[in-house]
Amino acid sequence: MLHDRRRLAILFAGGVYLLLAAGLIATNIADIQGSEAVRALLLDYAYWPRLTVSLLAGAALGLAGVLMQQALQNPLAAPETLGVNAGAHLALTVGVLAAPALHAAHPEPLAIAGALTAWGLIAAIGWRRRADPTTLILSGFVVSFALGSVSSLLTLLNQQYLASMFIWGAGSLVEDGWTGVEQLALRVAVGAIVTAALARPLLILGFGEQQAKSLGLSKLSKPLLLATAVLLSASVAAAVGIIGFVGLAAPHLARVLGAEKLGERLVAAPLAGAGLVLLVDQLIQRLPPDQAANLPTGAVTALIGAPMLIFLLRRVPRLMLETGGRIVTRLGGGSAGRPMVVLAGLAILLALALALAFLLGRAPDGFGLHPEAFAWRLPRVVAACGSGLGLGVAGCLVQRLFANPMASPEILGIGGGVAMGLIAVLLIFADAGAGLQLFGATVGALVVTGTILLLGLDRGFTPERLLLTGIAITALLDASSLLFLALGDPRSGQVLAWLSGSTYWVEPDFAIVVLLAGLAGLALSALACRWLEILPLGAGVATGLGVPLSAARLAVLVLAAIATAAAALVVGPMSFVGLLAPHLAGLMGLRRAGPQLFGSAIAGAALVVFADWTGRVVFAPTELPAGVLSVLIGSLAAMGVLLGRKAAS
Amino acid sequence: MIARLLASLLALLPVLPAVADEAVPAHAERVATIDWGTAETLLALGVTPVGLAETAGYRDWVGSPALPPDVAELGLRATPSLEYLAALKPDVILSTPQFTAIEPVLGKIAPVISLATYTDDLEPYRHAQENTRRLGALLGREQAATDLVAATDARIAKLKDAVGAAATRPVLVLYFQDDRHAWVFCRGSLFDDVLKRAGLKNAWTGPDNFWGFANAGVDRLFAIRDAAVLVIEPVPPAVRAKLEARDGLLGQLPVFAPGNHAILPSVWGFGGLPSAGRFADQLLQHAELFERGHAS
Repeated sequence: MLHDRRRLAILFAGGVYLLLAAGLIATNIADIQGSEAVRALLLDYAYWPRLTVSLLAGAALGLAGVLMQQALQNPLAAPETLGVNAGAHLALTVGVLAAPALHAAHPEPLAIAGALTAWGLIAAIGWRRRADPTTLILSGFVVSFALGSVSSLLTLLNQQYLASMFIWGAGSLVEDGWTGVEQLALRVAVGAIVTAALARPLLILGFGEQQAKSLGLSKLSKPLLLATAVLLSASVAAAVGIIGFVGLAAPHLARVLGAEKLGERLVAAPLAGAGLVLLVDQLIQRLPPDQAANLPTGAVTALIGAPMLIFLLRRVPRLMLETGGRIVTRLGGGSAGRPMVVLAGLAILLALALALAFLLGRAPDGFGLHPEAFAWRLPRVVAACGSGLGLGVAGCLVQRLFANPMASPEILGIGGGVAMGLIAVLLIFADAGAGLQLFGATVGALVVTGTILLLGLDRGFTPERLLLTGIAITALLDASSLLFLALGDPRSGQVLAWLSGSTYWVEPDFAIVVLLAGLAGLALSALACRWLEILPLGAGVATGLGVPLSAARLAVLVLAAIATAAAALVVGPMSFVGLLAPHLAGLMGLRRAGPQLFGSAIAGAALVVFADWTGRVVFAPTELPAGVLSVLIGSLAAMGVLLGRKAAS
Repeated sequence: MIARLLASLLALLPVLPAVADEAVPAHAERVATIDWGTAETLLALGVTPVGLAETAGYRDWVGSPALPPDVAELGLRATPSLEYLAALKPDVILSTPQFTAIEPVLGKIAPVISLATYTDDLEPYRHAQENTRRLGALLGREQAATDLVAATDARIAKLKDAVGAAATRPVLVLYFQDDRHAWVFCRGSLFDDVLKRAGLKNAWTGPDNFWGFANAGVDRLFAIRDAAVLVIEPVPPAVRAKLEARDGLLGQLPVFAPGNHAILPSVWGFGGLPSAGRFADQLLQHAELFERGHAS
């Protein structure tokens, strides 16, 4: 009975979809203006190729998603979470700049090489903990950011030359002729044939590593299947750009529609992906043409897909997310008998970094003191120090709160909220000044924190779920900023500078506000030291020891958000300092809450101050933003942490 | 805590520096700028800036007037190096509203004058004239400024005379990003103002943005029945190939028929009077395109 009702509902939904799609297609075709000959040309060269490519891209991504999710037994594996897009992006960016002719003629090999490299890096990390889905996703996230920071640097330095890459990044489906469509069709066909040939091994892979081994599965089948998935998604990336979140969402959509068995999903997911992209793209074409031109399809699917990921996380079986085992807070490194000595050492390091950044600059006549420059170096150094403090504190707070060494304000999406608030303000007010921008950024941070809190209260603060929610929020930020860049607004240079986290514009007043916010965060957190000591031990122990669990978690998270909000305005949404600083403190043997908190704050400050100085002097007079350098350093270090975890546990 | 932080953030709201021209030393000689449009205007006035941001980009995208080799590189336009800028000891720094966020910082080195060309009222040519005169007064080059304004007007007038009453065909000015996407210059752009002043009509009537251009997929260009098309360099290789082979939508667009479009050497679409003048000169060379009954 229930089964029948469900089937009816699905049939009904499918019918509604078909009617809607057919209606949209009919109206869109009817809306094409011009003489008979012009209409024929437009249909043949623009409308039908675009429609076909939307179906092909959606199907390819849907198939890639199923392959990845099944072969890795990971419900969150997809081209976007496994670094394919970031790798393709970097390779194509390098291509445009270094070999424009090659890029124009053969974008596909470039995109595929980039995607495979990224995947190789992620696999190298993920393979060490094969059964842990969260680690793989986090590896994908971290590797994507490492590659992304290199792309960002290249983009900052060559913005005027990369306008086409902004369009690419936002995934526009506008087509001219059938050449691209034919190439993509060929690749999708190859992918489908390989999948069909390897359907049995794929099924066996779904039973788990042990089963697969005992059933005598060839070692080659898994890499072959994954390579097929990477090739499929990289082909889409090369042909039309980034179509966000379809690879992730389509397999889940197929499941929701009742495709349980692998065979069914292999058919249903590409269909769902194709249907999704087609629908979004046809809807975009219904918009007034000037708005439609500014809304590339890929960025729109990402804007829809990121919240969908948050929704899907609630449906993913609890078990699948958490069998990876609770991650141990303890890391390698000797335990320090005298935390005060270590802290004093760290403080000296910070003092040295501050002195270096304040005293040594570069001018046309080379390195030197240039005392006349002290006045505008000072606010930058103070702001860098303050934001490093804030992120160090916030990182330590959330890592202890979630008892998870991969937790950080950046990964939780708080920084992403800051940047979205900023972009919103810039979109609404054409000439928003610094004050208005600050206001928008703070509101953004508080909105994300509110979301995290709501989700947390609802789901009991499950660490993995919160981390993945943060990843989704970050993806949402990516989509919004890509859209903004694709608009071609000349202010995008300013936004890029902001997103990449520069101390450049910092006013003395604001530098002091940031420093005070960092110090206040540190002081307040120090008061909560007992909670921080107990929270990582788990809910049971904490309650047993009389910690008011919900209140403590709420207080710690709000504190972390505020410490992040001020800091992220200076150093950017994705600095990774909040992730790295607590680990640096831990590696030096600062394990108890109090010493780790202070150590993390000092290490964070030293890191940002040093990154800021490096960015100012290395390519002078061209300045590299502190934030991007922190991302590069931080994401590389995070890869190290992930790689080292097996050794530590 | 939140309230306090918000309060202190909001307290920072009024940060716009209001520098009057009088704050600049009379007949300032050492001028630095971060805006390419301002740089070309300075050069046209006979003032060589001591420093400019992204000089390599200026040479690639603006080109003329040529930038002398001794102009110091200042780094990125959004974040010019303060230490390099300070070392140049400029008398004045010229900025645009696009860089409002960094003006307070620049103001510590020298008075900052913000010259707005692209604004809400969508009249960049008039603003470019005003800015030229203002720069002339500021730098003791009043005569040169008057001459530049007059010469640019004359270049446009010459174009107007050449196309005359025959010029009833609208003009489409675009810049290709790749073979499927273009920026079309519309109301609010410098190019549109030049067209208007020369008695030419812009073929693109769609909505405009602040900066005077619209994003358009090539399929939308079919809506334009009859127009002379001007494509501004750099033209992506794929676009060139399609135009030459008459391939794809692009090649088959009636308005892209051979003889109906021209490829113009790079002109900076966000510049000042020199760019406007150069654009007028280039249009003049293709005056036959604008005559009714030409080509298509």
